[in-house]
Amino acid sequence: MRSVPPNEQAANAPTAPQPLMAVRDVYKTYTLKKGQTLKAVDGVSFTIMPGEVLGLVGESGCGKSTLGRCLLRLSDVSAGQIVFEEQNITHLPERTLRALRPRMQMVFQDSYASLNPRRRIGDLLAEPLRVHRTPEGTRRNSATIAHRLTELMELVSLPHTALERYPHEFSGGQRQRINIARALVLAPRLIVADEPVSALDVSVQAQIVNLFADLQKHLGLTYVFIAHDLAVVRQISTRVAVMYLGVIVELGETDTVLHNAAHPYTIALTQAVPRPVVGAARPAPLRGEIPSPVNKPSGCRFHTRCPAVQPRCQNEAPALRQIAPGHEVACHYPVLK
Amino acid sequence: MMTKPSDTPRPSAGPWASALRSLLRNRSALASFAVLALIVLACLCAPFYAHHIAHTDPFVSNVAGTIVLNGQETDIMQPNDNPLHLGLSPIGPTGSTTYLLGADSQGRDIMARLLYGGRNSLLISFSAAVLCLVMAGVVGISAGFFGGITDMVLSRLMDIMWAVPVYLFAISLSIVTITSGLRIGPFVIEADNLLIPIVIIALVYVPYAARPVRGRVIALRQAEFVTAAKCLGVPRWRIVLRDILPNVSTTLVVMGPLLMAMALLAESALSFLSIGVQAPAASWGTIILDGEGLIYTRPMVAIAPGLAIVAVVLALNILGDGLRDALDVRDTSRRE
Repeated sequence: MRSVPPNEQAANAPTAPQPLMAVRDVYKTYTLKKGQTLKAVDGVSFTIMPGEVLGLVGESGCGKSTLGRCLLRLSDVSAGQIVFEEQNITHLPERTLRALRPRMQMVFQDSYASLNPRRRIGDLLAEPLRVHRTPEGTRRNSATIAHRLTELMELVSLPHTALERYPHEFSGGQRQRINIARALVLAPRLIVADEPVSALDVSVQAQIVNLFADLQKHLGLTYVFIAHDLAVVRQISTRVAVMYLGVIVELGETDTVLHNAAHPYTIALTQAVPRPVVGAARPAPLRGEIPSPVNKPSGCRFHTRCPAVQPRCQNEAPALRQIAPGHEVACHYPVLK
Repeated sequence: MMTKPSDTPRPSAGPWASALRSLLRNRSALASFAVLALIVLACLCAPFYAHHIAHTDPFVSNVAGTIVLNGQETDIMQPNDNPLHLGLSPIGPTGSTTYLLGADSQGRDIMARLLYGGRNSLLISFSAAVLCLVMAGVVGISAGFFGGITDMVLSRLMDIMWAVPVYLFAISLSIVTITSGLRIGPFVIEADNLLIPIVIIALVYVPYAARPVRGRVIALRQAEFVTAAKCLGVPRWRIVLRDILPNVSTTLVVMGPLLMAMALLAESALSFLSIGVQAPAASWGTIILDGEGLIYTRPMVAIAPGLAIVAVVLALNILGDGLRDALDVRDTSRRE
């Protein structure tokens, strides 16, 4: 059972907000050498409304980054459908896709690897402006480009002189600001941020998350914010999707997921967030490692580690179902308060 | 309020500029560059030396000529009293401006021929190295970036060329072209054209240069900044030119001097076998061939070009090492 995207209910009402992106039953399967298949993304559906920040959390290897790449068609999906601005982009050829690129961008995790070490920042940021024509179909002249770069440096709070420098001359946080500036160059509507702060110092993390939040407010952006840390996602997301082994196990408003989690996995995650309280009881951590995505457990993916496992869980995979308005859980025995 | 430090610090040096700076601090690299520059300069002055210092034409036989040595008129070709080497032997090193290093078996000035030969040897090896790098760049980048069937075809082709010993391959190609020249459609390259050894030497070394380039490109293709460029909608050809090529160029530049050294050796070998530079033109290889028969009586004929080759190859190798150290991309983040 799959949630019905809001736009299908209101298809005839032109004033109703359309989702910016709709993801329907997306699979991403890799074929390994020994004929095995790795289902990195194993049937994921959700929608993103304009102006929303969807936090995507899960352990390493749960497929969240792969999903993020699929959303922007940086990886091809194996099955399913991705609709962006009411256009099905699932199988668009690269050439056609290029015209859509200005409206959907990505911020990568590794701020150093994602900047070409041999090009100056100004050159890197100007590249998309040189490649793409304006919406009116004209090429941008160098004055327009210089003006836009100045604007961007102000947006991400970097000195104008940074444009003359090379990536290795910056700290991790500054480089991530440059990456954000580059994603913003073409004024996108959707930004997929793939663990943009997990490689940074904690103090810098907060600055970058705040920058994301400010930009979102000022520019009316929509984010898919990928993280493995609920504490980071909490600050910025309007909704949170929790992934486990390629599937979404819980999806809902940030407050609901954090405080009224219904899936045992989400509950374990929320309890794992360190709390600044002296003597706070430390909950029992989850047992074991995340199973290999090549050899997934039968039934519910989580049953091998679930503290409340029942016999049914070993054979029957739970579908994502609505347990409250806007709150979906994939569990046979959700914890209801 | 205190005066603020300048808002505009000096613009940061690019990778090439900082590599040059680090190369200029490398003494052995500088010394080898000086040696190379000296040899090149001397070779460029070959006509001047021949006409105004030695007063000989190094391309004309002078078997019946004479030379004034210590006030005495002496035959250039002298009777050979060595029982094993009957006949005539040219004069050895004279120390005077004429025939500074003696004469060869046709009575020609070795020093003048050495300078003229150096022009050909250096021109051929330099051009062959550049041509080889261009071809290897195209092959390596195409194979590495496009992958799939392109990579399959190109890599197998390189493997086949690799399987043939490089000198054997060069010799075979030279023998085919040496008799009739090279005919490509309406274009005919004469057998004595220097383009023939240049193209042949460049071609046989392409697999050696293309393979590292391909490996580097495969690593770069998966680099996140290439994905980022793709995500920004940069066309593929532009990614190759703006993101891949600048990162591969260091690999190519570092290979340059080493490739030129190998090309020089190959050229000398081909010329020694008289399937490279054609008489009466000279190269260091042909002069060694001239000296082969005189090795017991007038060893300088073979030794002089041999030393020249050793000096250039050694200098190129040291320079190449210096370049590699200076251009090592991994160090740029730590250097300053």
